[in-house]
Amino acid sequence: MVDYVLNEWLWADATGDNGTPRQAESFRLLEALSRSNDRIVVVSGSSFHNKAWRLCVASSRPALEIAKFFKLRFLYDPARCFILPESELPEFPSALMGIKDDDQYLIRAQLKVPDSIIVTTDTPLKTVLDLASRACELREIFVRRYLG
Amino acid sequence: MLENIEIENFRSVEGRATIPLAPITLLFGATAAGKSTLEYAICVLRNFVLNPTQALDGFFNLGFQSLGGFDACVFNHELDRKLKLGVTLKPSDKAGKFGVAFSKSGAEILLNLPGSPARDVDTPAISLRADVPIPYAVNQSFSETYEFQNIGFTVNWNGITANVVPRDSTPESQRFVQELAASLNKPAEALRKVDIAPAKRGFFKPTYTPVPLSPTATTDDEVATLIINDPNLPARISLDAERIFNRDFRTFVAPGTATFYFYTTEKTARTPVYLVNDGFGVNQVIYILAKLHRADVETLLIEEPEVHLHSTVVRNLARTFCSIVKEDRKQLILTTHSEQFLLSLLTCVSEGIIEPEMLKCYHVTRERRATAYHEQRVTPQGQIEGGLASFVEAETEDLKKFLSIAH
Repeated sequence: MVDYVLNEWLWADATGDNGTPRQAESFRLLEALSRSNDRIVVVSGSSFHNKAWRLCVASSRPALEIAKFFKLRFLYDPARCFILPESELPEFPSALMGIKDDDQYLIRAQLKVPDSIIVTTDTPLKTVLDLASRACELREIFVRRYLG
Repeated sequence: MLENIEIENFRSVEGRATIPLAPITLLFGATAAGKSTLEYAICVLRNFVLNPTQALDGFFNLGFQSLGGFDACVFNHELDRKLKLGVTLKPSDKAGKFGVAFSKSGAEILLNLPGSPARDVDTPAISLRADVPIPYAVNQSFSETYEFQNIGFTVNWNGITANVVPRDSTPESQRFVQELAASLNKPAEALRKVDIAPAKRGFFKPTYTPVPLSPTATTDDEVATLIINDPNLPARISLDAERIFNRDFRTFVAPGTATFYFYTTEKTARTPVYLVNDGFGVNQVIYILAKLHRADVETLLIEEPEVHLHSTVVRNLARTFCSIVKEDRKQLILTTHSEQFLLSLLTCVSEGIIEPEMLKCYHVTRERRATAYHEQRVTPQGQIEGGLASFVEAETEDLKKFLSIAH
């Protein structure tokens, strides 16, 4: 079982803003994750969490249905989704420099969940995390690996 | 409070299913999976306790719906099978299990009190069995003699009610036998305190007059009579209707007559309307609340409480049910097709309105002929083990087609 800390690229894809192929891929990824033993780590009130809820009131039907899928297959299933209240996260390590405030919750979540992997589209973030020997994967590689 | 129900060979349940119950038990699953079967099993057992003198097929007439008799209800219409139904009470009730095995030739009634080692309460182990013809005139006595903590006593049981006589009458033995008789009679008493709000419910006319009540009151005339006969019921219903719909509920008796009216008033509109002219969602929830607040009802079975309700109201209803269960110690057994209703209950758990152990959820499935009840445990965070995949199956298939994803 692997815990993944995803950032908001998933929802940018799921809304359809990045085109239908990306939207379909995001759904296929969620489906594959729902059949696996892996979990998504969600920090309550984080940008990831808020964007997931925002998807629930999206205007496009596929986006709405992806949101419903995520809600019922992940958010309410403790085996698929590990929900962390923000108050339970450790402090952001001051030694890590150059990480945007908006992304700090990803590292704090990773510190709380040992062996979890951050998945991001943000190459500078990946560089910083690599230098700090923190597990991080770029979206493209993660999706390709996950969907085979 | 009912702790669990056992069902064997009833409708789509093959073999024995033992289903632990909670203050709120929620059954969800596909249409015709067997959700209502659990509720109807309790109703059949209640019918037996209320009136064992009827013909075998009579027990399967639930008042609001006839299930068609024993032949129609025994699993796969295999008439040589025994159709067994039983309930067990909570250990804190110092009571045991009551069950009936129906067959074409009669009924076998069982009453078990497991005793101290099994239940951690100060009661002897009692096991009674009665083979009776159906209809059963409740005219037989099945007696057993026991000794417990140096008190000798005889239990006389007619299959429904037990009384206990001490061998030597002392103040201590008298108290003991009184308590024991109360324990033995609790399961049947709990069944008498079961009521149902079936899917077919509501009030269908503006005026009512009191009618005689059957033991299983379900018609709108009967439920209207319950409301008008209980001075506390309209106020209790109104308080909940305000929470759920922002409406109050009033009754009005025409002076010098036995005719009465039901009104609701939406608080911002301020125009009273006959209940029958309000939304049907309001109407059917008033019916549910009337049954739920009956003083003589401890366990209410409700089929799909969410029907005809907007999602905001569904949420309010779930929260109201949680309050009633917690404050008034009522037990609810519910069937639903609404993930919104289930999620609202889970939110009540995550917010601490109810404890996770107060909610049991079952995904009911049917493979070919047989129903299975799969418990999905609720966590303190308001999540549910196994997720809620069954509520998104159809959408998932549509979404795959829409996004042209190969299966």
